[in-house]
Amino acid sequence: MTADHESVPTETDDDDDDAIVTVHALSRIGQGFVAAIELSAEAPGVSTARLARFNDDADPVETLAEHPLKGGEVSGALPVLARLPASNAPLSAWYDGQAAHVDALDPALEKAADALAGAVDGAICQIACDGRFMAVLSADGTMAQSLSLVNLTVRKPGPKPVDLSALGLSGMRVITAMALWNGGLYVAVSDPVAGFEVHRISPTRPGSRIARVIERGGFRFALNAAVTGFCPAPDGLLIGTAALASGTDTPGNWGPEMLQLGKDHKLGIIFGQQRFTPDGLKRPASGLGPGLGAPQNGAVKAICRGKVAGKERHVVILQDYFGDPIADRAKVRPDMMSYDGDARIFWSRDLNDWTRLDIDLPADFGAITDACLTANGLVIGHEGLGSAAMPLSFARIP
Amino acid sequence: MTTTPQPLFILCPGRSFSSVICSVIGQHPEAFGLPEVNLFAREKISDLIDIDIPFVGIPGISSGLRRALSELMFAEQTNESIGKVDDWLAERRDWPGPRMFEYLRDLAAPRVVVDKSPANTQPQAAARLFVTYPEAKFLHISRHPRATCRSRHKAYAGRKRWDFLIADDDQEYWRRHHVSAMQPARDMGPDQYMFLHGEWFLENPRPVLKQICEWLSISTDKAAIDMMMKPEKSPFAVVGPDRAKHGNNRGFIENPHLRIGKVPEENLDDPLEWREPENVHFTPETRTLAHILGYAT
Repeated sequence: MTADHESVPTETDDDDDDAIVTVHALSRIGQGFVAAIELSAEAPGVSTARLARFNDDADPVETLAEHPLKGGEVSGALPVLARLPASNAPLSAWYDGQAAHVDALDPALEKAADALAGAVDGAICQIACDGRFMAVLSADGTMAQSLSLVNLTVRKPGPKPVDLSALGLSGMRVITAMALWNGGLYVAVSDPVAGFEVHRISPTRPGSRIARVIERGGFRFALNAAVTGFCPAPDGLLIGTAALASGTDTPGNWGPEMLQLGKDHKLGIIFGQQRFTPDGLKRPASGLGPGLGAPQNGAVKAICRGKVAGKERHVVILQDYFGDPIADRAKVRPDMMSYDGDARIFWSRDLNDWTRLDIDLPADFGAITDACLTANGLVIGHEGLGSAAMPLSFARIP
Repeated sequence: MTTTPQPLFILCPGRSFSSVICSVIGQHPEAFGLPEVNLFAREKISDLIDIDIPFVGIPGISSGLRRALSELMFAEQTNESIGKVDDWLAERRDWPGPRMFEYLRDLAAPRVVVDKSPANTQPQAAARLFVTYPEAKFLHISRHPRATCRSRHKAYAGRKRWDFLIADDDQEYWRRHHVSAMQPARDMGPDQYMFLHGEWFLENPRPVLKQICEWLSISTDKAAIDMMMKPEKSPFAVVGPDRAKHGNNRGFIENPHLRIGKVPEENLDDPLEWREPENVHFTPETRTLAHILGYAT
């Protein structure tokens, strides 16, 4: 592709104009990237999960795997991808309505994938992997979440369930993000009333005490109701936030933040609201406020970092809330697909100076689901609202 | 050449610890905490003075301004000095409030002037404030809605001349003033607006004071913080002379000490006890705003 930006044409639906295509997850590999895609038709119960490889310009290369999805009514029954920093081949998972399936495209992970698929009850919602451990978050038909850890360094890896009772999970308190980083498993729990929490679980001793490392939305309370994503970076774990559903009125600045958790568990603000905290005055390193200048309710929908044309780049994508207002915060659920309004994309070399990337997304781009950087630019995955095109957008980065 | 530092405005509904926090910050050697000068509440000085009359006006509304001028011009607050201030003000009746505020700033320079006038969160006053000082710093203070509303009700209930205040629904009052305090943050740089959870401050003020000083770019050394811990030393922490008695929260003047410790827990769920026997609860809007301000329960 030579244009600054364009949507990627689908190669999959030549004989099925009704197919609705949603890209759920993206992961960079050695050359190009892999996308976990859901293809569905107007009629229920006939959707398909596909794992496909694209090149650095977002041109389709090959279909890696394809499975039927029968259980579309179960949230989380969608294809997900693990990000494997030390591998060129990601893990993908999906749920067919009866059982979870895991595909390891790295032969070294095949045993773990097989063990995992048999042990997980319900739909796999998220996978995290650092090459040594794999963490799998799943949800059953009642939306109750379970978490399993797999030690990949042993000869016969098997999943060990993590006791989540200390997290007080409920309808509004759910795990929204996780990352294996800094020798621990970090899980984010949403709380639209008190603000999100981040907890650290020891992967070697998953039964030991869970330590809370961030509380009360990093002291921005209900305006940091959820972590929308983690992105491990050399100086710390980057954290995107959202206020979740707007109230009937939205006083003040509802813009989302990007935070950074240091290896010593000190919290920094990349952009966001300056504030007093028990840990001292926190100022945004970039000097920029919540929402990067937009005070309305938006979410950090994706954070990605990596080398583009040999240069280190960070990208953040913000998208506005477009769902119905919810007056009672206790009834707010962490539904990120309701953030399907206007989107704003920013890039940075160093996390301090941010520049807006003016690209026109397709008119029907829906909710942005993920993004990743390739050697040549930025790839954005989103919902396709009836479009025949694959909902992937590609943009070059200066 | 030294430039006069931008003022600090404390924004909150009444009865939100603003008197004590203003006095605390004002005791810093590089700051000057004003009493309630109300200079953005009315268009001109005459509007403020003429309404300061018994029975039909708002007695005491100009006391804070007159005491502040007396302190800054004559380094004392006596009936005599207030009399001189009154004469001086009589010649400046047509000054707009912001011009008088600027005069106070000049008198207090190079110190940071701290203003906590409750009227600053009224829409007209807020508009004047933000137009006049777009570069100022704003400290938004909160207190749990139950404690604020109960305190307000206790202060005004049964006092016939304040019936008009009680007629204003307590939680609506709490909500409206916080919304007014928060709205400017939408358009400000992140360094201009700070939110302070009042109960958290009172529980352990020293570390918070250090952060406030850091934010205001004034000394964070121990001697300065020690001075801040003594709000009772403020020249406005006492009843003024007969000619200008008021100008600060009465409860604070009666007991101007910094009462450090955990503030009793409140909750958002129970019926509003001051509205009994009506079975009234906080509205979803009040609860949402409380959650945003750090009150989960």
